[in-house]
Amino acid sequence: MRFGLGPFPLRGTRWTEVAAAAEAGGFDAVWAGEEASGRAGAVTAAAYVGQHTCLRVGAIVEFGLYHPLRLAEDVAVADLCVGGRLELALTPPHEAASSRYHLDVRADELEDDLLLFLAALSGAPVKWDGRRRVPAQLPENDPGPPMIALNPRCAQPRMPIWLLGWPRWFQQLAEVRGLGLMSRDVSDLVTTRNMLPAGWCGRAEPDKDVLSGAAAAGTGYVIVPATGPGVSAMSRLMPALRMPGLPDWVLAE
Amino acid sequence: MTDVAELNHADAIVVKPRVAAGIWSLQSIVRRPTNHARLYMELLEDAALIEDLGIDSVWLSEHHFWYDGYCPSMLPAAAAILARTERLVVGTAIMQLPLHPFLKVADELRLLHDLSGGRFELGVGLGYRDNEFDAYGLRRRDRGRLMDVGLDTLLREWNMDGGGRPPISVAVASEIAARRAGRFGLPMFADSTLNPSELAACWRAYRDAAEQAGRDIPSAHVLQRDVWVTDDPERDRRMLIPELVSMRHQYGGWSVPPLPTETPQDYFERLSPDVEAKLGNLIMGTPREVSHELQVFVDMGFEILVCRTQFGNIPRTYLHRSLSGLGAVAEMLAS
Repeated sequence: MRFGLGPFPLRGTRWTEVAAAAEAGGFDAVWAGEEASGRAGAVTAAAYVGQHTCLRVGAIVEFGLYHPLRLAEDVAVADLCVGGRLELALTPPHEAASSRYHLDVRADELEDDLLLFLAALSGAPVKWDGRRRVPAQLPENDPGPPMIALNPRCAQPRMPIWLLGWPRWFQQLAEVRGLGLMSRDVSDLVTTRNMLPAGWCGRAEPDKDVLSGAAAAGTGYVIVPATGPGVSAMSRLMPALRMPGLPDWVLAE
Repeated sequence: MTDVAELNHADAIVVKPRVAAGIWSLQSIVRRPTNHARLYMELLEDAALIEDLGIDSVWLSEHHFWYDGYCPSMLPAAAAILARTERLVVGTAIMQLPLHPFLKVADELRLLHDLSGGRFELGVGLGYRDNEFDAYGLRRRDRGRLMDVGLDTLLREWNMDGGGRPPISVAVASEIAARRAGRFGLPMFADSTLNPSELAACWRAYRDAAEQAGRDIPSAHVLQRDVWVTDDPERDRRMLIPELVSMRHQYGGWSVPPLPTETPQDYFERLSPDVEAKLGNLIMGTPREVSHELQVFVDMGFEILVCRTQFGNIPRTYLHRSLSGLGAVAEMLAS
């Protein structure tokens, strides 16, 4: 099992302190999140915090608010800046963000955008019709966009990406495209039949039972928004969760 | 030169110059192919060196979907530099604002402003490569309208937010662009290709537009120049001139695409005068000589002098020698 510390809000977080706490606590990654804030910048924040730690850095991005090629470019550069340590979790746009961006994003459009994003990250030449992303009041481009390829590509041969909080029918897409699923709801860990969430991203510090349940259900990645004493408590829990079945005497202080 | 003399005399602008290093574009050029992971690692090392040398700032540049991986996303790179340094300012020269989602830009710049304690500065321009507009489904002919909406959005968002904002300057390579900057009451970011008399014309257009729009004339105007500081011009010229010619052909080719009826030879002949003219703007010499030449622009009212020392991907031994000299220039101009 792997553990991430976060997600922390983009504004007001003291990233150097968070990075130090994550390292001292034995976490695997530090996460920045733009979820539900309606504010963009998690990938840029990850590029920043990645300079303060040797851990992996994660970004929870509200997906679909702007052109997926722009996100792919941000992700590639951020990954290069942190030496290939970037991780991504994509959430569908929250109501507040959609309203701010004057968007009414449909699920099928999100799927199109997601496929374009993944195709671009692969570095392969891609072509798309481009109509949806033309700003209001402007005519669409004619002729359509050319065949293009993302350059530079990410430092990692393949970017780890999880879908967080998406409708259930995206599970199939995740499976086909090699994406992970993450859930915010612990009940998902036992009720999802077809595909277990690979990760859990809590809104509050979890207790030991929740984490044990997640571990038993096969969850491989837990991201916890712990602070202060919560970080210490998590660091005491983590060894047993990483290696279930470890005798108690090994962990005794 | 009469224009310049008139301008200096009429305005008697006094500014304290800030010497800046540019332009890092993270290109794996055909003359010197390099792994991009290495280029971004070297960017952070170069930024630390620039800070140690006492240079005010480092400036980045963007283009999209180009063969050499020209940096397409400056803000994550800026964030990394800001995290690695303590005093260095990071700027964009230039962000092609029409190609970006404006609310996202507003959010991210506020983030960088807050994270760095105000060490980020934004230079914005229209962009000009058709392919870049095409890729995002936009039309190049709409870029002026998009720029106006983009600037309005940034200023509105930051006003609503309170708490200060990053400085913005507007790229100026013509009098039309100077009028836009004046209309918004934002400082100019003057292109390296403008000669002194063209700069003087831009200043006039800028002031007229600002006056008509009822704007105060801001300070902190930016000027970009190709600058090479050296104690051995002959040695460096052998390395530098082919790099500059290659780079100018690239930019020239983007601005002036070949005509369908044109042979390659005719096309390069058509580009040549422009390339030569731009090479003529290179400022090269010892720290004292370079300071003397840059002082002309300080006297014209340009406060931030973005000295382009990185052209594509210059060999680092040469680059670091020139940057050391630029540190001496910064000291001389400050005193």
